[in-house]
Amino acid sequence: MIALLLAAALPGLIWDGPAPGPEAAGISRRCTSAEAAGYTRLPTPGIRGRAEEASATRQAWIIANGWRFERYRARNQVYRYELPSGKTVLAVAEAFAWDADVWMKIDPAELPHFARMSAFLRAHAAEPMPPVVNIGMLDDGSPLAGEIMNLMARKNLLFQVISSPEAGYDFVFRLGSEKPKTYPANPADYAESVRKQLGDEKRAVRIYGTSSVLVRLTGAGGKARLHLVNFTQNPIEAVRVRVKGEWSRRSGAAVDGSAQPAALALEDSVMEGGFTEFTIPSLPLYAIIDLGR
Amino acid sequence: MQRRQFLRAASALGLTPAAHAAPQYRVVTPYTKEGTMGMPGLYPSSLVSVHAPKSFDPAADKADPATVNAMLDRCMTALTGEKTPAGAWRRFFEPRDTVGIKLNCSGAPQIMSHPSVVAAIVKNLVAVGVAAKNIWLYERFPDQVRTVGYPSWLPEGVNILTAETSRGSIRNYDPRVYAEVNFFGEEDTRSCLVRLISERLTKIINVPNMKDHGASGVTGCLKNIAYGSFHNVARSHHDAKTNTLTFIGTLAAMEPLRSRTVLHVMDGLKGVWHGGPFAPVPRFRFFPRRMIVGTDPVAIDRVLLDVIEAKRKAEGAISVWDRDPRSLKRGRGFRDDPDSNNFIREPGHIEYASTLGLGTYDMAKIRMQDFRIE
Repeated sequence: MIALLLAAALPGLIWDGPAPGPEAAGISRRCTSAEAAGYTRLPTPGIRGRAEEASATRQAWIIANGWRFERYRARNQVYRYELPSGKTVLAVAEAFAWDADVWMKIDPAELPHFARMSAFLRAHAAEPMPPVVNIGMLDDGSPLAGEIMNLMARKNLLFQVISSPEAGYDFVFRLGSEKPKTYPANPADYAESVRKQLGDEKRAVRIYGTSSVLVRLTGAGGKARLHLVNFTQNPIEAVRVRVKGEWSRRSGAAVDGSAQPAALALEDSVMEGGFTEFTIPSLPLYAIIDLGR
Repeated sequence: MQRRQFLRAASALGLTPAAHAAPQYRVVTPYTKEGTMGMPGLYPSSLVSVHAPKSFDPAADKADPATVNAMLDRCMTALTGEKTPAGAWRRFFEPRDTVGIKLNCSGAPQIMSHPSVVAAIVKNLVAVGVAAKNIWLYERFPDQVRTVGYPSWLPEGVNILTAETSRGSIRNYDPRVYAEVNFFGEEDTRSCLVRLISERLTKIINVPNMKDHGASGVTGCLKNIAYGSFHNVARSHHDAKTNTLTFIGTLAAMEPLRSRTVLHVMDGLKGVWHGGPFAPVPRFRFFPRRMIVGTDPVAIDRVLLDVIEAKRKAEGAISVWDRDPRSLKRGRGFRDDPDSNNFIREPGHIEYASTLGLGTYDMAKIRMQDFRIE
C-alpha cells in the first residue's frame, strides 16, 4: 500500500533522450517534454542573493514552491520543473516534502542524483498523514493572497487553504470581502500581522539559527513527520527546531546536495509545555525527522 | 525542568523618550544566582582608575607592558585593599577556577582588548594557581580576533575560543539559555548564551575598551559582556531605532553570566570617540592611556560616559545624548561625520542596567580612586 502511494508522490522524470538512461537508473515514472507541456511550470527553487539590501537579520530571499502546492492542492494540479544544473536534489526534496505531483526535466548529468534521491525517498516511505498547521487560509484567488501565502511560507507560518471557515485552526486568515480599502505597501505586513495574531508560542514549528530552511509537518495517531528543506543547498551548522507535541521518540535521515546519505544527529533535546526542541548540528540539503510518543 | 523567568522591561522607567516602547523579553535559563561575586560584585560602587602616560606610544602604536602591568597591579591592590597583587587576585580566583576573559575585538586590529592588558591579566591568574589550560579568552567572531595575534603574548596552553566559527552559526551557543524577544518582526527571536560560559567557566573577567558606540552611545563593560556573550543581537537595531536601552541590561543580568562575571578591567590605552564600535577612521581614535578596574559594570560605564562625552565635546561633536532626528545619517555619512548619529542612541542603557541591580549609576554614590603612574 505504501509503495503504491509513494509511487504517486515521487517526482517523475521528463526525459527526451534514449530510454536506457532512466531505466538503468531504476526510474520508471517518466514522460516526454511534449507529454508534460500542459503541466504548470514552476520556478526553480533556491536562494537569490540580495547583497545590495542590508538588513539586521540578513534574511535570504528564498524561491520556494511549497505555498503553491498548498494553494492548489484541492485542484490536484500537476506541475513541471525545467531545472538548470545543480537544482535536481533541491527540487525533488521540495516536491516530496509538500507531497506534490511533479515532473522534472533535469540536467542529464544529474540522473544519478535523481536516482539516488528517489531511492532515498523510497527507503523512507511512510503512510501519508495530514498536514499539521496553525492557520486556515481563506483564499480569494488574488495575486495578493498568493503573495501573502508565499511570505507566510517563508516564515514557516504553516497554513492550509480552506474554502470556508472551519474549526481546528489557531487562526483563520480572511482576505476577500474583508479586504481593507488600502492595502499595506508591503504584503509582508499581512504575514507579520498573521504571525502576531497567531502568536509565536502557538506555532507548530519554529526554526532558529537560519532563515533558509522551510519546513512541512504532517502527523496523526501519535506520530509526526517533519520535513526540513535547506534552500542554501550547503550544510548549515546548527539548526534549532521547536515542534509542537512532546515527542519522546525522534529519528532522522538526510541527504546532501548530491543525494548522498548524510549524517543527522539530534542534540540538546528538550520536551516542555507541549513542545519538543532539538538541535541539528549540521543540516544538509534535506532531512526527514520522524517523531513518536 | 527549566526555570523560566518572565521579565517585562520596565516601560514605566521613563529613562528616555524611547522607554515607552520597551519590548517584552522572555528570559529562559536553568541557572540561578551563584555565590556573591556576580555583578555588581564584591565592590559595588567602587572603582579604581590609573592614568599612565607611558603605557602607550601612539606614534609607534605600541604599549609598554611593564607600565601596563604596574597599572593593573595598582588597580587591583587599591580596589581590594590588599598589599600585594597576588593577595588581590586571590580575593577573586582560586586554582580550581576555569576563567574566561571576555575580549572586545570589534575594533580590531586598531582598538581592542590590548594583548598587553590581556597578558597582564593572564600572568596574575597563573600566579595565583589557575592553570593556563583553564584560562579561556573568548569573543564571537574569529576574523576579528585573528588580526590581534594574542597567542604570542600568552603562555602556552591558554585557550582562545571564537563562538561563530561560521558567521551566524549557533553551534557554540547554549540553546537552554536565551532571551526571546521580537524587536522588528525578525523570524529568529532568540539570543543564546555562549556555551563555554554555561558549560565550562566558573569566573569571567570582562575587558572592554573606552569606545563610543553608534547605537548604545558608548560601549563599555555592559555592552561588551552582554552583546559579546550572546548571539543574534544585531537584530536589536533597525533603521534609526535601537533597543540597546533595555536589551543590554537584560542580557547582562541573565544567569549564569551575571554570577560568573566577577571583575571588569576597562582597557583605555586607546579609545574611539566617534564611529564606534569599529575604528576605521584614524582621526576618531584617541589615547586615554588609562585603566579602570572594578566589579561594578554600571559604575565603570557611568564614568566612561563622561570620558566619551567630554572628548566629543572637546572635538566639537554632538552629544552622545543627542536624539534629534536631523542628526541621523546612515552608513558612511555617519562614519565620517562626528556631528551625526547612525541611530537614535541609547546611552540610557547604563542607567537602565542599574535598575536591574547590576550596579550604581549615581555619580554621587560612586567611589573612585584615581591614580597616576609616571
